[in-house]
Amino acid sequence: MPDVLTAYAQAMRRRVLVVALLSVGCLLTFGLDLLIGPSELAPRLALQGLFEPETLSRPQAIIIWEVRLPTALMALLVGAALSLAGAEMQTILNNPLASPFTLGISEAASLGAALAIMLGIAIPGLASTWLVPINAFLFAFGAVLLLQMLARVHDASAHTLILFGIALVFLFDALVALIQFVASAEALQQFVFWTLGNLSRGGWDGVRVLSPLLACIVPFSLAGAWQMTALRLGEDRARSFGVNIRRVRFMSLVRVSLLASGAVAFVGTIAFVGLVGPHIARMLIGEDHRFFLPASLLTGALVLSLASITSKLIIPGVLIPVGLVTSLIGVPVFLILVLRKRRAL
Amino acid sequence: MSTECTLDAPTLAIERLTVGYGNTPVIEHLTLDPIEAGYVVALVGPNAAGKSTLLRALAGLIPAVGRVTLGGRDLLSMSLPERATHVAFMPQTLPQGVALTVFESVLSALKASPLHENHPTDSRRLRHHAVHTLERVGIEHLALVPLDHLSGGQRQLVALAQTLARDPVLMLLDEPTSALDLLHQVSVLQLVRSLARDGRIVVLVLHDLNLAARWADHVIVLHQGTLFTAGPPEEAITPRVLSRVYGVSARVERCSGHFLQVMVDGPLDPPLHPSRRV
Repeated sequence: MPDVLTAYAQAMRRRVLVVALLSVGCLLTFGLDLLIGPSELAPRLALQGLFEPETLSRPQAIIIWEVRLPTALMALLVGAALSLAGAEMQTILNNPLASPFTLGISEAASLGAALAIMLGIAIPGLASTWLVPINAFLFAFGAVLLLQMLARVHDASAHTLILFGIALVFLFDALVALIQFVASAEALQQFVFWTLGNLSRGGWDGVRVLSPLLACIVPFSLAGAWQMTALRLGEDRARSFGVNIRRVRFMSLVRVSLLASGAVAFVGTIAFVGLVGPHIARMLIGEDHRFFLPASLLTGALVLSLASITSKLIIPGVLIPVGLVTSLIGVPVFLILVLRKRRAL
Repeated sequence: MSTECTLDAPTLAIERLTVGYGNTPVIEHLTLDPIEAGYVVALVGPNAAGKSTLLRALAGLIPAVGRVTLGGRDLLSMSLPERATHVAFMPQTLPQGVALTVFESVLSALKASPLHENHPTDSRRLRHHAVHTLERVGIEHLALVPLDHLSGGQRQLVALAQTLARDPVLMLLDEPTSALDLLHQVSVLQLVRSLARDGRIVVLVLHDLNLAARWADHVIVLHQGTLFTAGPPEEAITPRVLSRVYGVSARVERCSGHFLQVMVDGPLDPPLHPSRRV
């Protein structure tokens, strides 16, 4: 018996180490993200400017403090939020292909943004800069509540949720297309740019909203870790262990919708991070959710931070929308990872 | 291994139980003689007789109407977490593609919801308890193997360990030996019997009537959602029952080891249920 417990303790230590290494990786890419950019600013100068702001000229200070720093932080925050949401989604839907956007959250956000950008329809009394993100957020969150209500009328099983979710995707897509059809060319262009996914759009406002949001949600995610792990053994199994699956699924969907709609509201749709982050975490660390959830969060932050760096390097001097980079670079990298023989735990 | 039970000398009583999917009842008005702790009860019957449905209803996985009491307490009105402190269900399959080790899966059974008060609560003792459970099923050497690397029979043993881990007083096992080789069939059924003798009630679905006759104290024969007959193996498993319930012509004889043996000679001629072809 001591052998089993010793080996288990060893496996635990290995996982803590992996999580620690991922955190260090995030810090490194974050630093790199700050030093690299389309503007002519020597990395050494940028580094110096971070610690001694007074050594920078006014434009240089703006580049570092108002552009690169919030963008780099948003890369970490959005990556973390989407990947954690993806990990939870894959577990509650029992589907490795699920992502935060499987059930129509991004389409709903797009609909909200489209209404705000192209028709100027929004909640009265809002500052105009907040109009698009808040509208996107409310629509995304509302979509999940609608989905829950629809699913509860039936049996609230994973299959029902996926089916209704996909129906909502098509519904929202059609509504967005309808709005595009009647919108002016100028508004249309603005909207298409919104959908591309851009980290610099959020700015400090995005950081100020997303970081407390993430900080509030992560403890709740972790508190349900054992129940989520039990759910991986099958619904019947989990229920016979006393897990109220409906409740677990509902609470998790609320978290997913808050995370995903928060992220989408400020940066637009960034595909793939929410799918690939959990997969990398699973390969590294297994599915004990006490480790799987934090590891997913960190891999997502790492992947999007790397994508942010890459988006500045592909064409020097041009900042490609990061949503395109995650798909263009992420897809082949992901395929290589999956096709390599899966490593044991 | 702790052998304490949540209820003293529990009895499982089932009265007028109706279970179904949608509006079609699979089991209708089923009443059984009370089942005492200490016994192994085998549910047998042809396909679609309602065996698994009955187990799933007792486990609280599907809604049921009627009266089911365990140790005098109403099982059907218990919440899932409360029921999970007394009852454990072992389904036929474990899902594929799960990146968990055997040990983690047993730990998650212990951690998923509160255990009854006799259980240790601190993590170190729970881990010890999980290892003991694996030892009892004889799979401690698989503790750190990922579930996906296991054979079908090994997975079944892991599922049994997950079920046993919470020390339930009522164990519901859906074909626990279907994927096992001969040696493991015997060792699992021996374990099942000793678990019952410790003061539990074990209800298991078995397709192999010879195993049911050899290992069960009490056999319940279900047929088309109703009780056909029940009793000790030699009373419940007879040529008449086999012809009426399974539609086969069969002999039931004592072998040299003095155990009942069922030998099927062939389908009834003429068939009893000409429309029923499974």
